[in-house]
Amino acid sequence: MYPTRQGWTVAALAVVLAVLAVVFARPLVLVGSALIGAWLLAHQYRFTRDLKRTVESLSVVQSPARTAVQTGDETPVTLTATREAKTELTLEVSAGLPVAATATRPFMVSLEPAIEQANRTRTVTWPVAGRHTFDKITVTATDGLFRETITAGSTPTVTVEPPSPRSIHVGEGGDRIAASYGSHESIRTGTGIEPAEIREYLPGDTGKRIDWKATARHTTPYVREYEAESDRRTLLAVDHRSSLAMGPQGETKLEALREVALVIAGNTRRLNNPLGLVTVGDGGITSYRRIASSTVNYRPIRRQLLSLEPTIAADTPFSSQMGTTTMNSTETTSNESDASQSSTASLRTVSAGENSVSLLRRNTTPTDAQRSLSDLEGTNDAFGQTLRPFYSDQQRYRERITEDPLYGAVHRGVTNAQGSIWTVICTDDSRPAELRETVSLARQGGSEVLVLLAPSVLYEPGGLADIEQAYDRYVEFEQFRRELARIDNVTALEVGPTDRLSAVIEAGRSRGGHA
Amino acid sequence: MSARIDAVPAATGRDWSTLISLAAIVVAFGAVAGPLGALAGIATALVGYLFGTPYALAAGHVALVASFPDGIDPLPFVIVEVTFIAVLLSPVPWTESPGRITIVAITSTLTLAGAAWLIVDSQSLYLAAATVIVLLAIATYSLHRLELVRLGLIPDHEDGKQAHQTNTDQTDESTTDTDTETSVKPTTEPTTDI
Repeated sequence: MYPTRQGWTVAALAVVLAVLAVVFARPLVLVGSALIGAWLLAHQYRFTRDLKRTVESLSVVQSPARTAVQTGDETPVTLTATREAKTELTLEVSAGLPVAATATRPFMVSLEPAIEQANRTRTVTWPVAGRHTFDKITVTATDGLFRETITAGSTPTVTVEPPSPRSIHVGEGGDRIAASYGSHESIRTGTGIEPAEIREYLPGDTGKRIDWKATARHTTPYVREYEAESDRRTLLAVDHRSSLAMGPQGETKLEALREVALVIAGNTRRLNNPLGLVTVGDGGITSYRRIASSTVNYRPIRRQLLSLEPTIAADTPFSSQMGTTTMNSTETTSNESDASQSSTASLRTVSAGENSVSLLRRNTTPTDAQRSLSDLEGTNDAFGQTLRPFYSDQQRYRERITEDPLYGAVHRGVTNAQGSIWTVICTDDSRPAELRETVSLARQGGSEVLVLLAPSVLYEPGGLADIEQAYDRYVEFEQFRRELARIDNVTALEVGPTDRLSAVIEAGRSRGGHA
Repeated sequence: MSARIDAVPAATGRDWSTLISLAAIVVAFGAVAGPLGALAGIATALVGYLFGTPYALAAGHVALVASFPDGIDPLPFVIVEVTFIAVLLSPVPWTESPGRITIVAITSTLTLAGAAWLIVDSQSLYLAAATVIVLLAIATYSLHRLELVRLGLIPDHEDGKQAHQTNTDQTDESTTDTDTETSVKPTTEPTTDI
């Protein structure tokens, strides 16, 4: 109980009268001081009794409309105060909003002496993720002379989810891949526990490898092979360049790829497989963690993945050129069996006002260039002399590719890893040429590659405005994905929001096409 | 505390019982001090009506001293003080427990005034004034402690220490929760396990 300003004034009045009594030497004034003191004590006692009755009959409730929200959401919170006993106290009831919640105006409700119930609803914003518990409601009671503050009421909890894609599709051509659990299969045989097959004894096999029961059945020596137990060394290459920022807030390409990468990292830890991470920004490698035991690497890699933000685009003409090609071009890929002989012809339409110009550009791979140059080495005619400088430019092409961040990152990861690894490349479809080269680099040495591709058409704002065009662009993406998936030891999967992908696929079905 | 709460006129009373008691002051002043006293009584009632009972008590006693510059006889003193006590008790009938509040008011008055009277007889006026103020402070603080105990707002020493520890633990836990929920949630809800 604390005196208000008015209470202090009355107390000061009693003191002043006492001083006056001393100054004027008149005890009569001191009686006035005693009477004022008595008046003050009577009111204090009355306040104490009223407060007790009020507290006993007071009911205050703060109730959020929803207890599970997403960051940045606004939700109404209602504060209700009910007083059954009639007292002369005025109550100010303040909601105990968590520190992480913000309300535009002070959230309180007043109960005047004659009012029994009051309630107020305010819109509260939740900018911080986590579990937030309300503080108790603060009730300030006063009669004008004294005031007291107590806490009361329940303390509801609101769970604020961080922004994340609500449903992510991972699959091929609109079909979800089957979920798999357990250890991965190993093609190789060697020492292990699981029997793989029996085969005839060959010179060089040790005697203890002979399976005597099989030998007895077949009358010739047989050896039992076991499935080799090996660790699958996993390298996550996560692209977080500016193009990965595309998409609605909390549902960008990077967010979706991050979720899948986290799942893969979690599985790697569950299987105790070694894990490494290399992240790629517009300026190059932003972080690199060498492949090591998941026990050591999992937590830092997880933290690193969670903290990834799209970088700001640097001035990289080559990358932007490739990106533009993808966005505005129709690519056709020859279906020749020899991948090294494949070439990509891009037909690009450049619109400039009312005029449109068609350009045919041929993207030559380093293998093509090298072969053509060697063919031209022996010729000295005008044809060869004219073309030789162009194919000599292949070295420059290689340098440009090497300068590409993703290629450089995977190159570093693969080079440092030594031996066969499983490379998981998380990126989008905006730089197909770079991705092709990166995949071919990652699969060298028999390594397996998983490419997680975020189709731009599913993330662009307003990308589904023209659903027909969106479907056409998705078909282009799907062709590119299949092109990658056809490469040996390469698995290419699409990663996109389920609802948008369903809309595009549905549009294709209604049109009679198929992805 | 907002200005609105401080503006609650708890110190002023304008019900009919207060008005009657203020009128009684005018009559009492007039009866014991003549027309000049009546004038002082009217001034006291006016102050009481406008600013509240404490100011009426203060102004009344100053006016009383002015009306009796050579000292006041016991009978006029008793008459006037009874009217002052009537002003003091005038709002009590409208409270929930008038009996208890009346007892507190009269007991306080008798204690404070009696202590002052006793000390003035034997000691100096300075000491009497100090005694009144000290007694008032002690009584006010005692009521404050009584209120805390009745409302359960004052934990004992051991519980208080334990409660503080528990609060700290809860704070730590909630902080951890926030951290965990923020970071763990995305990985615990995969839609596809690769």
